[in-house]
Amino acid sequence: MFGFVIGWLIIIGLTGFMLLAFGADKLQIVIGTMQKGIGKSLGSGLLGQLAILPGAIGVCALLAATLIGIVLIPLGLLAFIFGVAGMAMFGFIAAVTMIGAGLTAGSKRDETPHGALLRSFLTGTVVFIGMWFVAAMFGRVPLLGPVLCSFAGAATFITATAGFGAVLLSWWRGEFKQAA
Amino acid sequence: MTDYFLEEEEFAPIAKAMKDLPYFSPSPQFADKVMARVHVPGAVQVPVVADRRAIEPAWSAPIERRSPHPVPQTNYRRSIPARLAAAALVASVGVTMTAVALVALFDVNLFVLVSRVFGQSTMTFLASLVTDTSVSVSATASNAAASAGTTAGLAAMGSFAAGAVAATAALRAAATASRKAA
Repeated sequence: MFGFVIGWLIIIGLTGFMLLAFGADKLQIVIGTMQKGIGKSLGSGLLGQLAILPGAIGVCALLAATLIGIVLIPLGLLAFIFGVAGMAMFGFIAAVTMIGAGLTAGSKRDETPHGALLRSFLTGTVVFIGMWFVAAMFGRVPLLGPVLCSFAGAATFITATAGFGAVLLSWWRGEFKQAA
Repeated sequence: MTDYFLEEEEFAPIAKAMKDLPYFSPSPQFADKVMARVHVPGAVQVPVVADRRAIEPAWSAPIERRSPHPVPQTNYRRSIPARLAAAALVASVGVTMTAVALVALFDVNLFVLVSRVFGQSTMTFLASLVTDTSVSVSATASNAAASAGTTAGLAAMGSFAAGAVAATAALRAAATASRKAA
């Protein structure tokens, strides 16, 4: 369980730092979408998750239109899965950063917006990974372990879904294109 | 004389552009509100409608014809990737519904149809994908069903619901706090 948590910490840390370095403006857009309405983001995320299977079928159907496409169906499916997973990870990092920004809202120690964003990301990551560390620590305790794991799983699922929905909403509204 | 014509030619596009300018009309009460504030010392009061009718019974107030207020138009055009995604989603839903209708109405064996259209290897890949997914889902469902009646199962389900509610509330609070801080 600890290996699982440390693995996710490394993945989230690397992806988050890369996003902050190369796509901080995109991250701000997604955070802005969530700030305008969590309910909308959450609903869009749930709808997006429901559309994953029809989307995969659609990818297969579109690729099957040509002879070369039929051969490329496994690769197309793989690309689709990676795309969806990337969007979910992007959304999760944005949601984690927003939670961190909410927790450090009173702090005025950052001189630049990027510094504030980094502080928010680190705070949010510490909160989430800390929650999973606690769940991992008590994982072998008969009743408490499953309860804590279930709680952390639900919190992570809701956060990732809201972030995923915010990415979809921002993309649908063409906000990434406007910023570019 | 030449200068005069040149000036007129130069003025023509300006006059045309001025004609094309949008017409903004004030609210119906605007003129009355302005005139109510105008006080000219020594001026004779203009008779109101009732006074005018007393003098001339056939007179009626002219009907004010005003153009509707200009409404700001929002650009609802979606980006090209968003339109492509929407089209792909509609197409995928359409394909799924067609497949369901084919099986339900005409009793078509979908596996034989897919196998004939796309080849045996595709069919094998899809079959293995479906088998893996169904095994995973059934294992999860059986575990959940087995633990549902127990205290641990109930506690896990309750904590899942509590986690979902707490995460939603935390996200809402974080959104509000970070928006205010920004």
